[in-house]
Amino acid sequence: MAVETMQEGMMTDRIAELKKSIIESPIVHDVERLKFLMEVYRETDGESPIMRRAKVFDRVLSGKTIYIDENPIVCTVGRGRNYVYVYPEFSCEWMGDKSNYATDRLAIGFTEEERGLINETIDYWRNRCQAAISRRIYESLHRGEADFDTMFEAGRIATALADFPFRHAMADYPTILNKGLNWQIAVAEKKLAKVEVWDFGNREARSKYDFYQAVIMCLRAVVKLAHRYASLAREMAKAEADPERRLELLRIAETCKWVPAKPARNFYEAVQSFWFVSVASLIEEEGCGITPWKFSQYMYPFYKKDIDEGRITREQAIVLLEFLFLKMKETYFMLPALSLLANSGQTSKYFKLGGVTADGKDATNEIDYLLLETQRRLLVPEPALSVFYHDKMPEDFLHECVKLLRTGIGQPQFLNNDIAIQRELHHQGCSLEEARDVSTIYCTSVALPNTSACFSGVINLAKPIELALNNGRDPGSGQQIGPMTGGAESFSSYEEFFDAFRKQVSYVLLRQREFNSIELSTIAELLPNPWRSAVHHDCLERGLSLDAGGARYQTGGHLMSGGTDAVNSLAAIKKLVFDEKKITLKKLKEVLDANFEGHEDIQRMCLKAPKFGNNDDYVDEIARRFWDLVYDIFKGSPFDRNRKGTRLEPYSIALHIVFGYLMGALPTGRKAGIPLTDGSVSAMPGTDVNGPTALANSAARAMDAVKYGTNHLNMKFHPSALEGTHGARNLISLIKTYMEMGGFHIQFNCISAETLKDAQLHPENYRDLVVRVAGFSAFYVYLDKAIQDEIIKRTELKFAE
Amino acid sequence: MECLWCCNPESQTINPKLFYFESRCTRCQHCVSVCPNGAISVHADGSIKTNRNLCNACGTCVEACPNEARAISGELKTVYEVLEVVKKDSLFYRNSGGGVTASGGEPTSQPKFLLALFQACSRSGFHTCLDTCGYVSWEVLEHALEYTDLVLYDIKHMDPKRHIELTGVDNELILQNAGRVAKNGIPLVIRVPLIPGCNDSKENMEALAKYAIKLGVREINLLPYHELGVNKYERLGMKYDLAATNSFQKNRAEAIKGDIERYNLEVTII
Repeated sequence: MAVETMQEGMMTDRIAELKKSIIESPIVHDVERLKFLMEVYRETDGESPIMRRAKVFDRVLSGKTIYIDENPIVCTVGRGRNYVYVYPEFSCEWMGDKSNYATDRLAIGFTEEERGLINETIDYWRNRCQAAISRRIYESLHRGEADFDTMFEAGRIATALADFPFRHAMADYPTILNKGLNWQIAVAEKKLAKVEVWDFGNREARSKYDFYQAVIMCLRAVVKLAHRYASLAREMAKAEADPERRLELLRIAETCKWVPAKPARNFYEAVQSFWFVSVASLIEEEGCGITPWKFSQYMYPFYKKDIDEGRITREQAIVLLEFLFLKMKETYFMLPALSLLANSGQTSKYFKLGGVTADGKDATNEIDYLLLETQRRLLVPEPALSVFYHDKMPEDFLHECVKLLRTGIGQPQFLNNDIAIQRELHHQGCSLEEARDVSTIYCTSVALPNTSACFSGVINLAKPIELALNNGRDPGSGQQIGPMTGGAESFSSYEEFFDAFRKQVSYVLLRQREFNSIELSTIAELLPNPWRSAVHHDCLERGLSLDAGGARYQTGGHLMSGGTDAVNSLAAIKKLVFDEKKITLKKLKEVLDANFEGHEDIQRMCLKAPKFGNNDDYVDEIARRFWDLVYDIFKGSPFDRNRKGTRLEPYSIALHIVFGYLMGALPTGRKAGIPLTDGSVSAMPGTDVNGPTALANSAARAMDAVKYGTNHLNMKFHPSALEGTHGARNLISLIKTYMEMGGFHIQFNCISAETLKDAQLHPENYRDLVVRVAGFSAFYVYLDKAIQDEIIKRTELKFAE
Repeated sequence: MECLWCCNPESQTINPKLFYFESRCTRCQHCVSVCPNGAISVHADGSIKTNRNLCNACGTCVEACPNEARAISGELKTVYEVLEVVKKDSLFYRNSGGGVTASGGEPTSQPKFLLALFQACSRSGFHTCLDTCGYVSWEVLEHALEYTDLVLYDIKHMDPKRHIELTGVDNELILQNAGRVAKNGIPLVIRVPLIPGCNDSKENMEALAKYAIKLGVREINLLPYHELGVNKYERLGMKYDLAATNSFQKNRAEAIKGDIERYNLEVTII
């Protein structure tokens, strides 16, 4: 039975069962990829990196085990439900340590043969992987510094890209859906024919030759993979006794024979074509930010045509989208334990909802409504929905958004459309029409679609507080990991201390950027991604891969964690040490060294010092000065010419947990090891006591959101605060006001603390409970206890009457 | 007026009050030694007592308490200071149609301040709402109304005798003032706290509905009794006379809402 003839009641059960199975199935390291990877790398020694990458891609797609399950949309990354590939080319040592797999989400039980393959892979990549090469280069540049592990353990440097091979790109779905990959192959072949072989002495000509060869191989590999699914569906149909299921399988066969090679002819084909391209990107390289981009805008014509011609109903379209969501839910990361903690295993597939068209009109259409309804029925943390809010959006659409928020899933998140546009104009100098196409690239960050984006590393903004208090010495390890800016006893005014802090920020930021720049160049050189380049906007025309200048725009994002902790630390020091002289800085430092033990009175005093998020000018002005300072340091530091659009992105995924775990006590009253503050403009947990409008006021004023690449505000509401039309209006008014004041991002948790506490005690009853963590949602019971505690702590807010 | 069920007893007089959270107290006696008025003492059983007659809520003990078992409720602020806070939220008001509500306690018990605040709000263009029990001289009310955009008016009971029993005062002045406010033409909403067994009888609700119609009022708010204020009495060292009363049942409130709606009035349960 084809999707178009499916009845609602029947599908509800089928979808529910599939969802249950996906949620309950363990996540498994699929070693099949390692076999193909090792084969190809052994066979291709001496070939250009891009050809080697294309051959790995082709070998995986041609050889991987495929299956078709109850989902009428086909194709997965691995060979079974929740099977995940691992990418030792980026970093590999962790794969050998069993404890790295040891989270309750992962099932590890390798056969002897598989274990052998893993060890062999590690041996091969140990010194060849990106992480090892980048580290060698960094260490050779900074011989005088403390060793790398010390800096890592102190939370001063984050080996971001080693574990997060996060290059992001938005595939040109509109072109692929409407023209098909065959068209792309034809373009590439024409371009290849024009490469002048007599000019191979010119490096550019030679690299174009390699590029087009690689791209054609990848495009063909994906068409071949679709055809493999078509054959499998046909075979299964032959053996199928149930006539309805047989029809459905034949429909799958027909679809996969047609797309993505040729232009999609209806909504179902468009969805399947979209999914082949997405999965292929995830197979080529693990990573988040393989985003559907403005899905509703390019899918709408297919939907409209089907509706007009009576081929599909609204209900059937929603059912199909539910199946697509489940397909997207089935993709994960497999990362070293600490990185998995930092990332919470989410792959950040965000739909852009709303926004404006190139000519500035409201872009909200029927698909946007369907996506909200799909999520309301399914309630899965991924994919996620991002509303690009502006004042021209339809009122009923915003009320539909609130309906979804009431479920407690934490979606959609709201982004300020006007600021996102201004931001691209500011950073990229693009045209206004291009800027209006800005979309979520991952989590809360945005980019232009024709951009090669990447995650450029993480900066821990709380660390410089520790360093400024300790003359550049790390209190944990006792090693010198920052410049000597004077001991705690040497500062006679707040400004003197602030100056030392400024120097430490400057140092940490520059060193972190250096390290990440090395990582990026190593990846660009050794691990180009020909498939993603083939389906990206300008690469085919330019004959260059994404990282080598194929994309019209480049950007990168330095994630930042600990900003609120730095601000609150500065406020406590200013108030207690210099304004009120209640304690000397030297004494404060000693108390922090002792982790407040035996000094509970001083800890209380620190906790009572002004805290960000209460609309208190004293600390809010410190916050603004701090964020302006960080931006100025960034702008004043040497520039990565290959990533001109690179920006600071103050949101932390779950890195605040990692850095918090690695750091000592802070003047905020926070003890050692406790997570830092989650969002960049959120309040330290439990310290925003003046209600939602006060928090929104502080958050909106904290930084210039146009200059910064993003920011991040969490608010948690008891469901009762959103009851009725009145409650919805209050929330919409809050969002509108926050945006108008200059806020950029806001998201809501709408669940009671009681529910969350009960879920800790009885996780078995709450397997499907979804909460908002930091720029994304996750299944609550799978989260680390520390994260669970933090979500409970985030102050429960309720609108006053 | 001191209603039995008052959930904000700290606001019955104007000055800031000391809250004492006994469950957080570890009896460390830090507070005893720092109190400049000698108001805090240790009883034979080790418990800490505060002599409310000596305490002037100076806050010294709050600073000294390591367990956050003591806190001050209420702040003395000038009109200018309040307006500064209000101004920060002006965009929220513009977008939501919200504004400033003077509530309590009873705002008309600080008539000069109320008038000055509402004048200032009015000048700045903020919407003003007066939440009053109506037990105030008409002169004070009349003055405030000049700068008021909406009145929320409490009527606790229609029967004068019962009113005295429950609140300590007669309802004559309250009803008289309600009539005057209605005549004045400012949008008026009547609010009724629903206290089980005190004022939730069918007769009283009917009398109230009829009275509302007589005044030309269109909207009634029902505020079902809740127990959230009970702990405050303990914290303030006060006695709670409604101690055995449970929160108002939801379906009962819905039924009363239905009864009043029959009179063609708009009813909201708050």
